[in-house]
Amino acid sequence: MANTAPSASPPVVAYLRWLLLGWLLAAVSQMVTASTVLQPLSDGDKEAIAGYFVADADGFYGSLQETYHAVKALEILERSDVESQKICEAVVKSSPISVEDAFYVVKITEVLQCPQGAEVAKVVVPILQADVVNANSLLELHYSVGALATIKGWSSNSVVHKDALSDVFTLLKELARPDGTWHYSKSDSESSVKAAGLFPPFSFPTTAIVLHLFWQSQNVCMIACIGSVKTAAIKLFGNLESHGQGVFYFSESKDETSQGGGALAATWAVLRGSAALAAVLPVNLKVEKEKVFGIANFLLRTGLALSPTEAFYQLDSLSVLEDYRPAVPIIVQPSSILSLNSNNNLEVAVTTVLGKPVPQVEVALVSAHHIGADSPPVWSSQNFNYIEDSGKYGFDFLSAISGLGKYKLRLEVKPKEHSSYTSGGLVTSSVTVVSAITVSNVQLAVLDSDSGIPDFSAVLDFEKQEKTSLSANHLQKLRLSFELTSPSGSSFKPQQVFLKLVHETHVEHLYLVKSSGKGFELTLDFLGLVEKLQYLSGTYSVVLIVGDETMENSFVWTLASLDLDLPEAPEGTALPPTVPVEVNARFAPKPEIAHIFRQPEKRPPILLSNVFLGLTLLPLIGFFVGLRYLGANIKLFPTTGLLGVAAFSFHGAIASILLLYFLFWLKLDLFTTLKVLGFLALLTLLPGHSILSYLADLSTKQKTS
Amino acid sequence: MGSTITDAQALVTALRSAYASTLIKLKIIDLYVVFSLATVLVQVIYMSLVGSFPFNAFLSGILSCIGSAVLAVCLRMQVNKENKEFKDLPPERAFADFVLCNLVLHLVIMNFLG
Repeated sequence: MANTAPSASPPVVAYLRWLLLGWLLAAVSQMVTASTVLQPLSDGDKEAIAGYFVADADGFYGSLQETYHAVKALEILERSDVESQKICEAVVKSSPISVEDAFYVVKITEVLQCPQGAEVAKVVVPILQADVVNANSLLELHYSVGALATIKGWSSNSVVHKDALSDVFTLLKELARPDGTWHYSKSDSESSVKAAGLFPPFSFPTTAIVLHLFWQSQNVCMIACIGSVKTAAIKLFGNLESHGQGVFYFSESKDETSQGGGALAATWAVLRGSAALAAVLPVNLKVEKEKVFGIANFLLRTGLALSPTEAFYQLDSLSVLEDYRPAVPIIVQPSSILSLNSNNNLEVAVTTVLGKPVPQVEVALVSAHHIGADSPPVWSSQNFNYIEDSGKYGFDFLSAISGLGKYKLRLEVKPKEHSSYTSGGLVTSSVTVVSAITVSNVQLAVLDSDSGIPDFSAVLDFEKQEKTSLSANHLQKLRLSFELTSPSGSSFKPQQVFLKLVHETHVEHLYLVKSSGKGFELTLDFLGLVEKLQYLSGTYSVVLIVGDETMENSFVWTLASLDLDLPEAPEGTALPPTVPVEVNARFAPKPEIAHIFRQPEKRPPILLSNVFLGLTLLPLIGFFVGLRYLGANIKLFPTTGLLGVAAFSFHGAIASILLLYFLFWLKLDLFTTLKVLGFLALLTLLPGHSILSYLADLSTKQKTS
Repeated sequence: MGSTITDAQALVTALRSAYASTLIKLKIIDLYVVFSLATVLVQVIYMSLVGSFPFNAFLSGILSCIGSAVLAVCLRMQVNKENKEFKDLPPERAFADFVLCNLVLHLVIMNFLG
């Protein structure tokens, strides 16, 4: 879990909770896939949570409810900086009017074990007794009956009458629903307008308390009543929701009068209630162990609570789980890294959800496989030894291991007979076996480009992290070679092997060192790299970077300071500015791109265009003049009768087609034009055919005659 | 030099007298062709003055004129009674073809004009 110090955060707005829940569950599901090892509440987390509760001047932590939350949470965290005396006195002096205030007054008195119990009881009892009789909602009932049960014995007049109790029990049975959830109030059971106020949790402590009181008064109803309550409780656990990967929780009730708080509040309420019920029922409440472990998973993986109320819910739920009668989840944490050099044992710590020790159990290693290799298991069915006074169990894992890498472990925890501890089935985790790698035979040389004869060479010692200095120009090559050996004697191939050249202006260049034969080798030919190095001459530091997850001594080693002489940049090459490489410069805004739009083409002056338009029309006029001159006429044009109609429609249709073309040029599209053209073509065809055939007949008649 | 001029003059006179005897119908068609070609000329002069942007408009303009001229020449060939090739083709049919082809040509022109 995150180990961050909290700021004094104001209470979270209700709608933010939904967002948070969604995010949390997403984060949880990712976390769960990342590592399956659950961790109890760490000391750092406990410190952080305690920081939420800041007392004001009179020792209170806000309202009565908030004070109760704070006081209870700090008690679970075993903090002693609560000003209990101040709070007790203030609480006694406060005169609660509502049953809710009375309830919290009583609860605070109980947690802090105030000596003024009798006075508190005297003040509070009349209110509570009145409410028990008049209550018609579960919440009121919860407050009144709960407070009364708590203060039983503090004073003499806190007895509740048998009739009142039987009324309460009848009301509870009325409000029960078949699927294990409950109506909020009597008025709800008639109409389902308020979408089914799910208020399961508050009924349980109430029922438990009522049962407890009945027990005292030896009511005969007991046997039958117990049965129905038990079935209701078990059905309630059927409403447990899962977000996959073994995380179980209860989701928020949809009633707007609920106290808010989302899944954490609902889960807390169910746990508190079922614990109270289990304490009272004579037979065991059967809840599946995996589900209880799933709830522990949810509580521990939700990350740090964001408000005092959430912190209270989380802490109180975890403290309930510490001795939950149906099943107590225990957290198994194996160690995650083992070093071959120090040859330590694989240790497993077994604690409760809050980190407290657990009585001795049997821990066994079911199997251990090397991840990535298809080999048979390295270990199978081995028992761990209990290490005295530490709550840990040890095993000599490394005795059968020779290779480095990750191993997948499957552990089984078997509690003693008839105990209710559960580890949620087999625990899977992985352990990485690391070791120190020997670096040997490190040779750095400057070679002459043509002949390959080293002009300068040095052998560097890794232990002393030696650094040398050399110089080169663009006609030479730089060669580095070295060997890496793992403890088993074979050559080691790490994940990262890089050589970095850093100029004095902080310009960096990275090169990958490739493996060759038994070791690694890299040759940098400066002749080819001149451009890449941006023609920068000067002092470079040569740095070797080697790293791997199974390497205990990954290193960054400055091998040498290289004085490199490169030729001048040729004229005209636009060198990029060699800015110092600043990590955050990547995220600064980039230079703005000014978009150059396509320039419109130069058009001729309008006057010229108009003149030429006139000139184009001139030949047309010339044509008509010429026609007149030639003596062309339309004397034979038929004007009467069918022929006239045909002639007119023929020429009219052609004219309309030309008009259509004009419209096509202006605004129509081709498809419309073609459609209309088809129609007009038909219109042209028919009269055209008739008139032309008439003219043809006419001319043949003229010929024959 | 002088003989060529006189030869040219004689040629022109001969052509003129021969031409005068053609039918009016054919002269109309000839006039139409001259008119089309004159329009082309005007357009080319304009283009040489202001550059060929937009090129598609220029092309469709001259294609329209030249296409019309070509179709008119085809019509003249088909209608001319002295032309033995098209003896069996009635001139009305030729005219209908001329109209149809012109319409198709101008559709294409209008599309290309943009």
